[in-house]
Amino acid sequence: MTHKKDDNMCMQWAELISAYIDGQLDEEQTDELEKHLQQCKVCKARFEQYNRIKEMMASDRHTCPADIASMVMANAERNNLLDGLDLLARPASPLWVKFLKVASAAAMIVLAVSTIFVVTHFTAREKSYNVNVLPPPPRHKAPSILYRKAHRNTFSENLPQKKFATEQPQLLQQQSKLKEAKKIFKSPVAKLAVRPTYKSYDFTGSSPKSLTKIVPWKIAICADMPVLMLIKEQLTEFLVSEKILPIERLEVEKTIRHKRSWFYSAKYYEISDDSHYAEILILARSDKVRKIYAELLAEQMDNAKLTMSKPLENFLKSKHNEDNKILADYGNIIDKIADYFSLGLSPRARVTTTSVATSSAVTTTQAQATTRNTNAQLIPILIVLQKERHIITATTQTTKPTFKLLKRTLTTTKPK
Amino acid sequence: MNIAKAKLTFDENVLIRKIQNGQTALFAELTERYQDRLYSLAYRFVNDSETASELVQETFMRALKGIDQFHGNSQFYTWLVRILINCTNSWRSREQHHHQTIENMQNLLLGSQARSLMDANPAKQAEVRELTELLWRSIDMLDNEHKQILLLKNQQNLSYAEIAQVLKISEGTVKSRLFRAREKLRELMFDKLEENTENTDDT
Repeated sequence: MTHKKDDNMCMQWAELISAYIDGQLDEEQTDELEKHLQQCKVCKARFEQYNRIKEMMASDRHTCPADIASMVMANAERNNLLDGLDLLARPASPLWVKFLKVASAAAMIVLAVSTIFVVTHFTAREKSYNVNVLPPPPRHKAPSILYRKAHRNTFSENLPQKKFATEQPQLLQQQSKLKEAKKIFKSPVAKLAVRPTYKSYDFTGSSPKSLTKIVPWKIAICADMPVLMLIKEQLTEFLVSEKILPIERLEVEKTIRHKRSWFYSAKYYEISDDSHYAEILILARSDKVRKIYAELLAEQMDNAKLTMSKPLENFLKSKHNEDNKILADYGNIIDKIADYFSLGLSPRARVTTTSVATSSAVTTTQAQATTRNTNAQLIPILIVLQKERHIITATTQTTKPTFKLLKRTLTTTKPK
Repeated sequence: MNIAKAKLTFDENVLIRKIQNGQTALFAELTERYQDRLYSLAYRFVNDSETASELVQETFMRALKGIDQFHGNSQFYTWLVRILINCTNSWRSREQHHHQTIENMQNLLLGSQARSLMDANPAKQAEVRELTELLWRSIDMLDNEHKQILLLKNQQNLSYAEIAQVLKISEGTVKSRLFRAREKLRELMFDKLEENTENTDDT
């Protein structure tokens, strides 16, 4: 009880003690208080208690259990990509450069590849965008294949660069823009002097006949969205490369319009001529994404049947007589893509996807999981295809291991 | 010490300017630098690690979004703390509706638990021997205002001026509020402890 009384008497000192602990008193006050503390047990006790509390609280340290940085950055990335959607909606050209910047910076992907990618008409049902559009390939059921067919000569010959350029003069016009775009990608410009050469190539997986002459090559891949999805989902594993080569040229070939509603927009970037890099941005509505597989499988089966290129068909027939179904299988298209990818090259390419709410580079399963968990969000999926430049000898190219590998992947991951 | 500190702030300012100029990716560095310190505070605000993580995340997101509004008038961290407090307040008002009663009950329970542990049972008392446990329980029983300022000063080691900035009060108020908070906490903690030990000594 006496204790309590003293307590109240010393209240006048208490506030000074508090300030004293924080070093807020001037010299005079400090002297005075220190003197008092020596005399007064109650105040001394209070001082010690305040101090004790302070020390205990100061040692209270926690480690944040979540990876805040990557979550925050993934969110920022997503917002950036969504901002990019607005840019996509406008046809003015330098904007795509900006957009590309945003997309690439956000994705934080180091790149280097080769592939020319043409993805055919994508339209959003609700909204459609038309950006940087070059003349689209003929619109047919499976324009990808038709387009490729149309250009088959380009592949089976020496792939003359000039010829291609005259076919699509816009490509040349864009080259100044491309130079700008190239700067965006920090990867050093390719320094390799030697390029792969293709004397001839058919789509049967047979070896290129001659490799003596160095020829700049150009590949056009026509694919539509499902194929891209499948690239993401199914080709990832075998396209993963360890080696990354720098970009030599970047070019926007086409912006895709597609009637399917789950894609608000898709943008396709490619590097032409000496290209080693392709990047596809898909903005997909998450609630629709899941429906893709089933729908597309059905659709594509027919298309694949109708439009499969003769060489490939022959090839498949010869090898898969026992299983005719495979011809109608969606996997054929993937095979073709794989063909393109491995056109005279090793199948070492890299597919990187990014997705909302996960870190910048996520595995496809993670992306899927994200898709599953979000409702009606726009999911930007950035697919970066990188291909290693590779000189093929006749011996290494005689067999196509990618085919077998792909088949296996397909059978295990085929959507229901 | 001073040099090291000066270098740190310099780096930080450069970093922030770069972020403001569009190098958003650098923000990750700032995040990593402060997330644990901020999380420690958030955790004590809400007493739940998951919520605290979310609040910290939200804080950084808001900070990144509004990075242009940071003019370097204060320390960056102080700015973050201000945002965190805003986030926490809005979280609280969101949650209050649902959890007010539960929270109160929990506090009552905790309080009575502590009391019963302290008061009666010497065997149980051993469990709470951990002074820190008593400390945090007691802090939880304080007003939000007092809890906040104690954390900012004692745990976060902000200066009076910084606290004034964060809480938008005068330094005089910081001083007096801090004292009141300390005194209350001391009463909650030590008086009880002393009385209790006296009692147990008697018996």
